[in-house]
Amino acid sequence: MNDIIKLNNVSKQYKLFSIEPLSCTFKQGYITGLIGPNGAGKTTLIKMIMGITRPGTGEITIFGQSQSLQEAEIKQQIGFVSDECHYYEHLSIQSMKNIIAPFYKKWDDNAFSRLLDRFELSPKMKIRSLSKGMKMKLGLAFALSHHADLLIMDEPTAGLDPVFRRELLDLLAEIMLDERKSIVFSTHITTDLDRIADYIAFLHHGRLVFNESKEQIQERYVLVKGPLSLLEAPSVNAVFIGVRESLVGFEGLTDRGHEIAAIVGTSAQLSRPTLEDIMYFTARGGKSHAAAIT
Amino acid sequence: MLLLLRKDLFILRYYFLLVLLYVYLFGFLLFNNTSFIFVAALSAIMLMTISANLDSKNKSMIVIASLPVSSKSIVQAKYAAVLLFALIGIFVSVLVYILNSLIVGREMAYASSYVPIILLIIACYASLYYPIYYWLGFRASQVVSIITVSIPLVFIVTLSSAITDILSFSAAVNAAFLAASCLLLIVSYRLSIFFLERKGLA
Repeated sequence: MNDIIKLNNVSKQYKLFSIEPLSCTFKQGYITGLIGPNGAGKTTLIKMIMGITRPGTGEITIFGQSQSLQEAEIKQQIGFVSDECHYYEHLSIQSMKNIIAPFYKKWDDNAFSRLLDRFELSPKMKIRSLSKGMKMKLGLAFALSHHADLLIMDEPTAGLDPVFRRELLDLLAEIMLDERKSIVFSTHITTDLDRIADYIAFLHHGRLVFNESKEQIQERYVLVKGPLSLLEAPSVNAVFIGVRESLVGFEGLTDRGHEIAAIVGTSAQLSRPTLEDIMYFTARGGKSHAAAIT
Repeated sequence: MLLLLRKDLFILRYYFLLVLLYVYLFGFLLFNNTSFIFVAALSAIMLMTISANLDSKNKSMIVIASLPVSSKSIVQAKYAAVLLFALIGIFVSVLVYILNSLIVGREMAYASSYVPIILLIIACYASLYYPIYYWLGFRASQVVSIITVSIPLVFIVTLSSAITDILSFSAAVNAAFLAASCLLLIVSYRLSIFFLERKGLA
């Protein structure tokens, strides 16, 4: 299994935020979801991978080539969709295409037209007249029209209606029928990743919490629901990554499933957490209290 | 880099009309002895600033940076565009001269010595504008651009009141102007690359 992206000790320091030295790989032929709460560093990481922002330290390798040395060649093979529409608003879709297309050696006009038809976009439309969803579709059309082997998307589903979100996920699944293709996309809508992602990289406060296959993650973490009295034992408390207490009991996430099963026996309910549960409890950490029900 | 230059011309196409309006105002209505310098230098400065403005508006620099070009090429293209805009400015000022002579019937001469001073004014502006743009971002560069535009403006206005004949410099002074322009642009380019290496494009 080849690595399509390799990050080696990559960090970035800002005044109020930093990406701590981070090493990981993203696999070729799979969809990797980059999750994390807002401000976790997902966009910064994607910008560093794309060469838009320079890492403070470390090296990024894409397709086995150094990102900093082979930037232009690497980007020929990448389709990029950013979180917002950054195209020139005063231009039409056709004019924007006339600017972008000549940069790509493998630009496919037919593919672009087909995608515009599929997304119900007209080349004559002015970019400023497009809705957020339409702009995202346009971004996808540009990213998918030069036969890129790697698709990198920053929050592509944010602000999209559920119908188009499903369509987008179907489209990504179609792309993945070609095993040479790989997709990396960031999101905080974890249900999208539950559907299609193979690997999940979780960033929190600029740190990589994990980067594993979805199955490994689901096997490792356990969601425990039980009465508050169980938390009185210090040995129980210690095994939780995060706990949420409410008037009717508690919910907690642990990566020590066997241990907790032995301690609580049948007095608590153990289940597989969703990615959202993992993100929530890891991000919150410690104990939190649900709003009281009145 | 040529594709990036083409991109600049493409996004500016509607804004050339704005430049024409400005040329009409300063090249014909408010014509004086320094109009040729004024029109050429400020047309180029205007195009440079609008181009940077369009890249920064909606953060279009992110789209440019995601294209298959190196970040260095993006900076190089900006400096190549300075020369292109300078040529456009000089061309426009020659056009103003021809139209003034042939159609308006004004008696005047266009001196080749205008070119070095036009290039120097443009180089001064670009050499400040772009490093600040890559260092502190578009907003800071806009503030600086107001200051830096006002310097050549004051210079030209002072010049226009001081001289009544064709502005002429010796060959040595013209050569010094050209050398200073080149030096400023080279130093400025190096600074822009330095900031780019540290911060990236966006």
